[in-house]
Amino acid sequence: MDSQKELKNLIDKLMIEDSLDSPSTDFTKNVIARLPIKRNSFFVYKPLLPKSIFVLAVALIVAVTYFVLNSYGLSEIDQSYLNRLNVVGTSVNDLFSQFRFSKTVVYIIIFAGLMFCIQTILLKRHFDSRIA
Amino acid sequence: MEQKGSQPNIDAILNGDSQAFSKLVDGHKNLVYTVALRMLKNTEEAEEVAQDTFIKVFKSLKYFKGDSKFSTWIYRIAYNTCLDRLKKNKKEFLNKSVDEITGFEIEDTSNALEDIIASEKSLLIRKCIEQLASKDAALITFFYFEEKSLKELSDILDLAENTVKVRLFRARARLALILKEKLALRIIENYG
Repeated sequence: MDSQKELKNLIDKLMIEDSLDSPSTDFTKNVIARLPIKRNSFFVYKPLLPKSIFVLAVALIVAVTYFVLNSYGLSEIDQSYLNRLNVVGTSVNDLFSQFRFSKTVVYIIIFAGLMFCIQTILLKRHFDSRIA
Repeated sequence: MEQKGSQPNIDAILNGDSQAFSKLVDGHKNLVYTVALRMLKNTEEAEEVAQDTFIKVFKSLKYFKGDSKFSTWIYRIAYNTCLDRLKKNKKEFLNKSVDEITGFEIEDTSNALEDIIASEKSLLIRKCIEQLASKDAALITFFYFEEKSLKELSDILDLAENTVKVRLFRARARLALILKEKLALRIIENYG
């Protein structure tokens, strides 16, 4: 029995200095590459706002709107704020009344907008394929 | 001794979250690779088998019921994958028949071990374990790195607890004999 204990002590003493070996540096990457899953699931998309905060914000907006409508009434808001908006709108209209776009400029703006939309789609596809 | 990974987020992995799976791999890769290397005695094969182990872990994750520790479950897969590879290669490394080590020899070996510095000792252990049979090398590694109980070891190796106990004793005895031989050789080399 004593020799068993001695043997155990000897090996225990020996194994204290033992250390683990490490596989290659890109081991984990290689394992992930071999997984039978869609690669784009590497990223988990999470909404920027947690659901609870989003619900709270909506509730707050509804409550404030309800409070304002209840306190002042719709007719008062119509008279005071909408009239002021009208005044601002008129002055802005006066400011830009001299402005005239030529047909060419309008076509260029429409074409640029169209190109922007197409590029957005193309870029999205490009980055999706890079991630995958 | 070992830096273990925490309990993985199994649901996230099952939903395809590769980052959660990367964490799991990082937490266990060193021990899985070490066991594979010590059983197969070849770095390329060990790397391949260690990778296969994690692919099997991923595929079988939905069947993990939590009956045993998660690490125990992974190491059982690793051990069985190594055994499958050895069977496929038809070259399991077996122990050479050796004499029993006496109490006096153990004491002598222990004293000789005291004189060796830590870095040399680490190299010596590797050389000794290299000469152990595949199954003994795995048993010793799991026992000393994971500090597994006999029950957990019996789960990993699929053996009865008593058998594990006997095997552990024999593996220690073989390791001590190999160590004795190595130390004797070292002394001869130093004085030669």
